[in-house]
Amino acid sequence: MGTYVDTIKSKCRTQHDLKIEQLRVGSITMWMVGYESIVNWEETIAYISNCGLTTEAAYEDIYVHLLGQEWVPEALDVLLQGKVVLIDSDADRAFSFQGKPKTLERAIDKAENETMPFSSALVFMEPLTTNIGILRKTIHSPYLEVEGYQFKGIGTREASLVYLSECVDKDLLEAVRHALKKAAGQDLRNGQDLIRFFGYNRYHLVSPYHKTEIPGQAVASMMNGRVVLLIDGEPTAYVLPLLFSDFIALDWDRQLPLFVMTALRSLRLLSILIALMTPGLYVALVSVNPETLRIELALSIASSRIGIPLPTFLEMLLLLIISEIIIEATQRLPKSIAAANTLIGGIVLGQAIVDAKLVSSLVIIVLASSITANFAFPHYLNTLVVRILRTGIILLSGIFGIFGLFASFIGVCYYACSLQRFGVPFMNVLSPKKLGQ
Amino acid sequence: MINRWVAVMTAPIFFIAAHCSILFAAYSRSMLHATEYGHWEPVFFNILIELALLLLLLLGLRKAGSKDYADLFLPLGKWISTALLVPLVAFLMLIPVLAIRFFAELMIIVFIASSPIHAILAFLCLLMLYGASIGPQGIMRASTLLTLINFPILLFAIGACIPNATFVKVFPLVNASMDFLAEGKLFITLFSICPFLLLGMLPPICKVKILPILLSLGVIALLYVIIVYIPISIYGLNAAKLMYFPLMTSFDSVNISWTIFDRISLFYAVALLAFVMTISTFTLYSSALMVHKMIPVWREKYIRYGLCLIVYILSLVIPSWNRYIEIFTADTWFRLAIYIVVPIAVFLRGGFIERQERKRVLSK
Repeated sequence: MGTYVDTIKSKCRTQHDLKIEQLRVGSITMWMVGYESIVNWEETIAYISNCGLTTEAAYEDIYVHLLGQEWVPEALDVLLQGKVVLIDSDADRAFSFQGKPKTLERAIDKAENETMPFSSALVFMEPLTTNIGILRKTIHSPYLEVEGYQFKGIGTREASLVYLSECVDKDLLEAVRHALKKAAGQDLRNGQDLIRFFGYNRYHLVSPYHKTEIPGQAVASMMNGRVVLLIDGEPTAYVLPLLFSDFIALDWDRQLPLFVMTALRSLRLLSILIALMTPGLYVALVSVNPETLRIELALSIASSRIGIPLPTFLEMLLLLIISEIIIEATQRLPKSIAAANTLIGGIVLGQAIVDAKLVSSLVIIVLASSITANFAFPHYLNTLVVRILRTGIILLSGIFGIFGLFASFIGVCYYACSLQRFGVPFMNVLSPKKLGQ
Repeated sequence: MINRWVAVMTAPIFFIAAHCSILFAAYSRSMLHATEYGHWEPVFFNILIELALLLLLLLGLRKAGSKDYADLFLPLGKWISTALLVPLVAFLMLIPVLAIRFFAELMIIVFIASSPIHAILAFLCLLMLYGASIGPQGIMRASTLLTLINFPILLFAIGACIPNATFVKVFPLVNASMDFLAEGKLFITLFSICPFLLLGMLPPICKVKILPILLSLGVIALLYVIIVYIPISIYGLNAAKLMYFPLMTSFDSVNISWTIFDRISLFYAVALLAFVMTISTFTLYSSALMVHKMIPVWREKYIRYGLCLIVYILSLVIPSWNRYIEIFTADTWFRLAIYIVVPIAVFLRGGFIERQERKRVLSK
């Protein structure tokens, strides 16, 4: 038996799904090697027998018929890409060819996280090629260009950089390309890896990319000069870079008349401000600067707080933490149980905590409006930033009152204005250069 | 389209924001003390002087291309450039010291009487340091953003004052004696025009076009007059003169029944904070940049920390509001010298650079 087969057999001991089997092909007996978890074994054998080989066919004939490529045992990783190897053990030579793949994919599904009424049901799936195909189907443009990248660390991961050559911002494209090429020897497993590849501080609150699962949204971003990174096995597209407009604008809005769209987007902007500021404003007004409130309002707040032991600042922070825990708890539970949890958290706790005079009912109103506003602007990932900043604002409002509230708001503005990814400012609207020009 | 608008308007918007910070802070009080009646006359003189100096500076800058003060003066040799830049940096550093100290005083009187001044100043200085560290483009974006948010708030506060105003109190309008010229009181109020000096740091960062800046000066001129006449028309000159914060007190006189806030001065203070931060961050950034260009071995980041610490200590050292006003009056001559020397130097330098450039092109 040849050394090729020995090598494979020794590998089989730790790789249970690596299959090796003897097979009569043409005039010779060969060993067929492949991962049966990736390759559909029966279909591949059927493919070999149906490819027009005669019983006298020699090694070279088989090689040509199956569109083979020379193979040596060191190149085991080609097997991971769904290829199959045929080894001629007498002569110790082998070639690889594309096996019939096993379906490891689900059918194209509807959006899970970004559902919008009257929008197309098509969303990104896990396989890279499916996603590229979906993008091609969505836009049908000869300008759609796809560059392949491979990240080889402990595992191998394929990714594709997709852009519209007519619209893309050249500097941005160059910067992204450069970063991706440089990272070819590293593992790509998650968003933090991606942030590291791009050379940004991992402690930044705002990530450099925007995730979307709707192809239309990705295409709209590309038409505005941005690039899209598709990673094999991720059912979302990474739009680079993240801009402030992603917090308030969706491509979906454009089906509405301009005025309605503007109103909708203004509402989202307002909801960001409400989510960010109202808890801080309440703390500042009630605990530090009650004199700025109208006297009637101040009195009604004071009467609602009679008998409450906690200072406003702690009251707000306590409820905020509880509500964040409820949000965190419901999101990973099965839907049926999540509803029960919401009920307990929302009604029982909310009602009981007021009845027990631990917090005033106004705090609950303020907090509820802030949290509802938190989910009124697009994308769950963006809400996380606002939720964290909100806590900071409450802290400063508790210390410095109205002054602290607005000073921290200015700080947030400075932070937003300071962000610049791939040479594109996060606050792109305020920059003199339009993306893609 | 919006990006093109931003490209042209960044500098004028910054110019307006920088003026707002100074005007809404201490200008009205200082101007009320300048003369007995006919306040529009010294205001008019202020604007004329600013216009002349501004034109001189802008023409010089245009000739020089995209160069800031350090780029313009450093080739003049060690001694001359130091003589020009060091006083300029010292003057620029005075702006955040006075602005931040003013705002802290305002905060203590209006909102947080119980907080110690060192804590408020530290918070303001940290915010300023953070703002100055986000880079010139970031500062300009923040200036545009904050102005677009806060300028309407300020206008709302001003508009809310109008029902309380009694316009008869502005008379007599004409002051034929021009007494403000005789005693040099006009020069004390000239601190209000200092933002024009900051334009000299803008050319490498954004486009500085002369016409939009002059138009924005028109808006600023209107603000100058309004700000002086608000306290006069609400309280009368003699009462307004007695106040430390006449503008603030005027805003406090407003009672609007349909807002949830009892005090309109809240809006004024909020907007003022944004403007004070805009001018302070930019002055801190540009002073650090100038020092860095003079002494390249020092890292800009550490210079910024150092300067911020100096601002904090200096503003902490000013013990009381009366002392603050004394400092304001004492630096008048230093300020005037800077106002005159810097634009003339820029103008001459700009002309020289332009001639050299022309010669170079011709010889090619």
